[in-house]
Amino acid sequence: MTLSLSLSGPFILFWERLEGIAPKILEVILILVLGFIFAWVAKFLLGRLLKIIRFEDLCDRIGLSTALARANVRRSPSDIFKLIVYWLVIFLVIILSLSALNVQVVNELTSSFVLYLPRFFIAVLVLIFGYFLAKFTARALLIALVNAQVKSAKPISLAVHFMILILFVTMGIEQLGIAKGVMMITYAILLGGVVLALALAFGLGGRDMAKDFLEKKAKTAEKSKKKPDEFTHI
Amino acid sequence: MPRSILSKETKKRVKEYKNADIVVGIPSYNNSRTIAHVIKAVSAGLAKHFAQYRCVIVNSDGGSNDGTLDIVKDTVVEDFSAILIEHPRYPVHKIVTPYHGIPGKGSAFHTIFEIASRLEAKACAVVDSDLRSITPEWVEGLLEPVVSHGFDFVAPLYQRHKYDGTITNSIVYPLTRALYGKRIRQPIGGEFGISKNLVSHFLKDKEIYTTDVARFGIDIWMTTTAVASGFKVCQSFLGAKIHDHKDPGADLSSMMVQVAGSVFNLMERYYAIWARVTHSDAVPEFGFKFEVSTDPVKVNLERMVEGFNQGISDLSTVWEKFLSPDVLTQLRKLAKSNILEFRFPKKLWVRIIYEFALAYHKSVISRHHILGSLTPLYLGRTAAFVNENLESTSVEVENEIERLCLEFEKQKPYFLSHFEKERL
Repeated sequence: MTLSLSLSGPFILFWERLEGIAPKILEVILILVLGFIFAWVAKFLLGRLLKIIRFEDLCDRIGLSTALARANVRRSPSDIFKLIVYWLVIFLVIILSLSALNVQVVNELTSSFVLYLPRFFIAVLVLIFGYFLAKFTARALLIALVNAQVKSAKPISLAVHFMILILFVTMGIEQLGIAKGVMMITYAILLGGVVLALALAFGLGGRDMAKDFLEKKAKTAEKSKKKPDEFTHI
Repeated sequence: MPRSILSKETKKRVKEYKNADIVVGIPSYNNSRTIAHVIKAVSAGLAKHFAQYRCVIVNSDGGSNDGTLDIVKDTVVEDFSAILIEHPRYPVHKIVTPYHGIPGKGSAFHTIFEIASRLEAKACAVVDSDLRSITPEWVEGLLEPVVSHGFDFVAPLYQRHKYDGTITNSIVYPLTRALYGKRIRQPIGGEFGISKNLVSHFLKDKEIYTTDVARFGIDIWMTTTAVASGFKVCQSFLGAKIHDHKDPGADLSSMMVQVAGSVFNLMERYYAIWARVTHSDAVPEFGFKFEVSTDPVKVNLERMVEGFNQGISDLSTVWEKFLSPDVLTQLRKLAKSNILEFRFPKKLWVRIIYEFALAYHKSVISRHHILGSLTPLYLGRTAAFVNENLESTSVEVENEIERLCLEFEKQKPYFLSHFEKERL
């Protein structure tokens, strides 16, 4: 009797604990199953919506498709968008299911992660905005400089493109809280360094070359001033 | 009720005159060198040809600081005896007013149309203030078809230097002719005669004066609106057109953006009209045509070809987004030729304009960028046009422009099919 009691004791204890935790596990499984179904439905509906609003055309227009092709990404923008939404839902479902277990460590982890999410999304938005702003500004500048027949139009617009990109990447990283302050200082040092290096190279190292270049420029400007077109375009 | 664009003082002057039969509008901005001549020619024209009508000259100024306004106020025609057959029954009144809104010719015209409408004028004409060649007969040419023949819109017809008006000759005229089917030779000429009905029509859509129409786009907007809305249009021969000299390259890019942008924009608006047009017809012509010699002009071919070549090397990445690969290949080949042998085939040029129009329609990239990137190609086409016509007479040049127009008409089905595909 004593033996059987001592043997059944752990089983009873295990069973009692299992009884206590089982509803929670069932809850987790249910949340996961429903979550997966919901994620799949969301992905399917999103696909239909993107087709209706011609999302692919929009991505072509804003150059996103080209940018992805250049980066050797073989999936279409709408596929990527669907996947992002799908995995985001799955991720939220997992967090939700874990919080159902009500384990303190998991709770702390999930809450700190949830608190970090807005920062992450803002950083992504900053990067996307920066990418398009850099592209738009550089292209506008390139066209204006070519129309003004500035010879170094392409390098100037490229430089502006990368400056804006670096600035926004720095802002994005700053938003994520990685090496706060350091990134901004690095950017400032980089920018200052580039300007200083250019000034030194042009002013000291290439003094004669700079002189020749400016003289040549002035002569060209003088030459084209002497020979303006006299017809009207309209 | 929408806010009036007229100042209190202008409204008061308009009320004083109550009504008028004819209004002639002169937009101005720093035109002190030429405006006195324009005012005198217009006054003399009104007195000579419309002596029995009550006429008002409206100067709509964009804030000149070179004394233009004082000159307008002080200019009077002292002696009509040399040109008059009969003494005018009414004095010619003048209204001098600043215009409001976006700085530009379109805003000036808006003010002129508003005054003409309030005065219930039967006919209205507009003339540029930088003209050196205007004569009293221009007033007759622009107004007579409206006053006596029931036309609603009179476009000018000039004798110009063979290299003059290249945006008109290579883009605006052939394209509007192919689209709307009316052979209006100077759709952005700057001088027009307009009926009372058409003035009211121009004033219906006030929002339009907040777009590029308020600037260089006004002329093509007026012409296209008149044609597409079914008004009776004609053209009148005025003689030689000589402007006050300005550096034409100074604002070429913005001019191109505004004019081409307005043409492309109007395509969207009047799609239902131009999609049905399959050929072009001549419009009635007034005036006695005569040959006029024009001063020779200097052309800097080197600068134009350089501009084109730079476009090919720097803007190809932009054009790749909307020009077809075969067009780009042909353009790259052109960039290799030397200046004197530089040619730009008509067929290629027409294809480019249609592909730019399609890109604008689809908004492949920013519309402003699409239009801005057209300038180097335009410079190339202009350089080739100059090269091809170094020895040509004005008649031969006109024949060359006619061939370009026919090419635009020939390629219109290609354009239409692609345009329609995008609308589906």
